Amino acid sequence: MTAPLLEVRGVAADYGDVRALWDVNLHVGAGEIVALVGPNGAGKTTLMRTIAGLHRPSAGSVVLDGTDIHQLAAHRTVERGLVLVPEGRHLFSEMSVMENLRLGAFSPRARRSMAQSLDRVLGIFPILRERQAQIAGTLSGGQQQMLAIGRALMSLPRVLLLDEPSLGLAPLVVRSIFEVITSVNRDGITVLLVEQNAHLALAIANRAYILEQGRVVGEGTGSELLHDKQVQRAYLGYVEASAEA
Amino acid sequence: MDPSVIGQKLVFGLFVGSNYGVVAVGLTLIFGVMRVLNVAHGELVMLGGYASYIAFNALGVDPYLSVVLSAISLFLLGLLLNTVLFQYVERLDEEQRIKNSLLISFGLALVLQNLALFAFSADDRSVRAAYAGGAFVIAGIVFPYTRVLTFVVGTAVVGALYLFLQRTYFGMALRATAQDWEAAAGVGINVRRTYLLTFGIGSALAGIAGSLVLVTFSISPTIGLAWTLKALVVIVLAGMGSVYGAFLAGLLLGVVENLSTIWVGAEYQQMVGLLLFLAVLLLRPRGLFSR
Repeated sequence: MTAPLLEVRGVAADYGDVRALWDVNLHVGAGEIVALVGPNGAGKTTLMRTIAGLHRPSAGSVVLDGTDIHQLAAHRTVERGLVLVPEGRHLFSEMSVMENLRLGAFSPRARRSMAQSLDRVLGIFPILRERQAQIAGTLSGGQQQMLAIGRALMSLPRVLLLDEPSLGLAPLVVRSIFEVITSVNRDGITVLLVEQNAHLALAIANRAYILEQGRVVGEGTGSELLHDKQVQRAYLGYVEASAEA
Repeated sequence: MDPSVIGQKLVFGLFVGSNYGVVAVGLTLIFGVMRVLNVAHGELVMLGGYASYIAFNALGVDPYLSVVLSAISLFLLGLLLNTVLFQYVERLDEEQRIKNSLLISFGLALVLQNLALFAFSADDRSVRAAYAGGAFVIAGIVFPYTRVLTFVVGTAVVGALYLFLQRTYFGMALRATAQDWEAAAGVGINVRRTYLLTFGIGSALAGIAGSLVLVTFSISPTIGLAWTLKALVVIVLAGMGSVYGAFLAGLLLGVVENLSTIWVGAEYQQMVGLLLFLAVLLLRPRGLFSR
């Protein structure tokens, strides 16, 4: 096996005196979709923010393509191709759809091909072309999520970190978002996905990690975990189903 | 009431208000983008005034041309102050930023004031360009050259800022950083550098305002606090962080203060401005020009 594209080695993270992550190890190979599942408060978002350079780890390292990146400012990790779609989307909500997309290509590497990226993203999300002059904060939840992913694609990611892309969205919209995730993955973008909806995440993931109380407590392929009795009980809501059987 | 008197008060109000506006725009730009409240902003205005004063007396540069000089010197001073002082505040949470920047900039205001006293003495200074005292009259309303020029320069500067923020890619990045600095970092914007340049631009605006104040009023080392307070009133009138609204609110405050002198003594015009401030706080606390 070749060296993984993204590697998290022994990462610990703190908020003040409270430790949120303990000795987290995981890796994501080029071209993979890797899911990170676990209950609320397990530290999934903290881990994503730490990888993206928005939170400094207290110990350990984050390695992208053989280079340590955990000491870099967040804008430098974007320049290297690691792009986060944060939980809650964090759009520039008072700016237009088009301004949000154009800002996605701010880093020098992405700026050079802004026009082609824009064509590609508007091709993936035709609704954003229709709404290009609309103020981002006035879009529907699903459209906002599409814009957040579109803006991230404008940064030309090699690794796309998605934090809770389905949160608060209608099932139909969730399905189309997940179709986009698998399709950009087929185009060669590596994906690390945090998702409350473990069922959905495990179904599209090559591999997955289970994070509980700040520690990795399990890993496996998507289908392994999908059929694991313990995982089913804890995250897939099969308790009643098996009791009735 | 003679309509030309009202017209005259209105016009003078706009002239004075353009000064308020330029001072307030610089302060609100820094606050809106960085959540840093720099109460030494008035001291930067004062220093901009001295830059023009020195240029006029030592080199004979016209005060309206030396606007460029005070803008550049205050831009550089802003970069320096941000590097040695305010960048440490920027690393804190937004709540902490406001409190800590208040403390730091209050200290900075005292230091700058006393340095200016030491360097320039406590005397009031102003300049008289060759055309000062001249005026033209339209429909019985007097337009002094210096006041008109101050208004034109002030408006042009805010107009240029508008074009920069709305029409350039970097201006767009600056607005994005103001809205959500983490998301800005997430698209590859260097937030630290954006803050640095914002502080420089805001300080340059204070410098420009200082040159204008030098011609239309006068300067001394202790004028800073009055201008900071005036700018704070204007910012609250406009709504925190509303950059162009701050210029309009500045004009409005100038007009209201001047019109009030028709009915109350000129010594009460400050009070009338503060009453307007209280009325806005009570009736529309998010400000007149906020969305």
